[in-house]
Amino acid sequence: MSLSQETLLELMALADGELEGDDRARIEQLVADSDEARRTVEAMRSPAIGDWLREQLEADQHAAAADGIADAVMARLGSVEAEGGGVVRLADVRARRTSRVQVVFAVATAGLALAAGIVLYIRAGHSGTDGQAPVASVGTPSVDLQLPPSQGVEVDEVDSPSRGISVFEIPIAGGAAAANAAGPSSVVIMIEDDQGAK
Amino acid sequence: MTRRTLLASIAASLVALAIAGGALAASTHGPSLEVSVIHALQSDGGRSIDPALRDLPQLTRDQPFVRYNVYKLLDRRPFPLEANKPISVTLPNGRVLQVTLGGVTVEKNEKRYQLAAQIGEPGKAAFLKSLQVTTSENEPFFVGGQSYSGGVLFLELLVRP
Repeated sequence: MSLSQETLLELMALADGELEGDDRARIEQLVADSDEARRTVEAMRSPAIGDWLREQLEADQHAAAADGIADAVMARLGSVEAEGGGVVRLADVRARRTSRVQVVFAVATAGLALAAGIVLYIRAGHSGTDGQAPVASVGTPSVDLQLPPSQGVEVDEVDSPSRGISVFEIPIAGGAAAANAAGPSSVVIMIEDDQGAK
Repeated sequence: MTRRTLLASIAASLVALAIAGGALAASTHGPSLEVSVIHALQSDGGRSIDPALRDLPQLTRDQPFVRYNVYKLLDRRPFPLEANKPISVTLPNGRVLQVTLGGVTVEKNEKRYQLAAQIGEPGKAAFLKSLQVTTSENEPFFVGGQSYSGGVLFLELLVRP
């Protein structure tokens, strides 16, 4: 068949009586000039062939439309590839994955560090008081503060054969000592050295 | 689970273990013995006390510290204090100080530490054969008298809680 698809559609429209005006005159002229066009119109007007041909043309139209969609899709793909957006770069994917893992890891680490810090803070606060009530508190100025007397340093034994030994007990001045007659003292054990300076 | 996820999990677990270990160490640390080695001199250049020797200024008004007017801190280190585990400190004059915790008692709500100390030198008679001291936390005591570089050494021993 040498007739174009567009011409066939117009011939069908003519067979169905849908053409008017210049189009109708043009297609009637074609039918008059072309035996093929005339036979086609006659066939279209016959019930059996006309229905079949109409279905085929409609199917062709759908195919053409599908071709158009396919062309549009291919054109879009071409443009996306030209932009580089359609190419999946493994390095980029790895980088995104790695950064996501790093974020998760960092969040987990920060969470653990925060939890450990809270535990240490609580423990430090607990050990700081050692389970005992405070000696004094704000708002009780009449409390007569008495620090427990320190037992200081006791020298139980010194043994340094053939050397002179002196033991000095030095009271340490300061608040605690002033508040307590038996305040803390420091002990110095002096041992004579007969070796001379080195 | 991917290999990267597995590695991340292992790394997170190690971090958690390290943090937990640090917390455990911080919560179970025991007392320590702080040993300071001080060089004392009598100098005509005037009085000078190392700022790191925070307790000495009030002590230097009394004997035996009043004999010297220049004090310099040569070394200060803490050592874990555990019963029957000797602590050894090599002194600038070549002698070795050894301190051992004999035990800890509680008297009048106060911890008392029984310490035994010796100062010796290889191949020679001990400078200090035996010193037995009972002390409390944060109460220093001194062992002085060893000759060193024109002056003497004072060893300050202090139990830290």
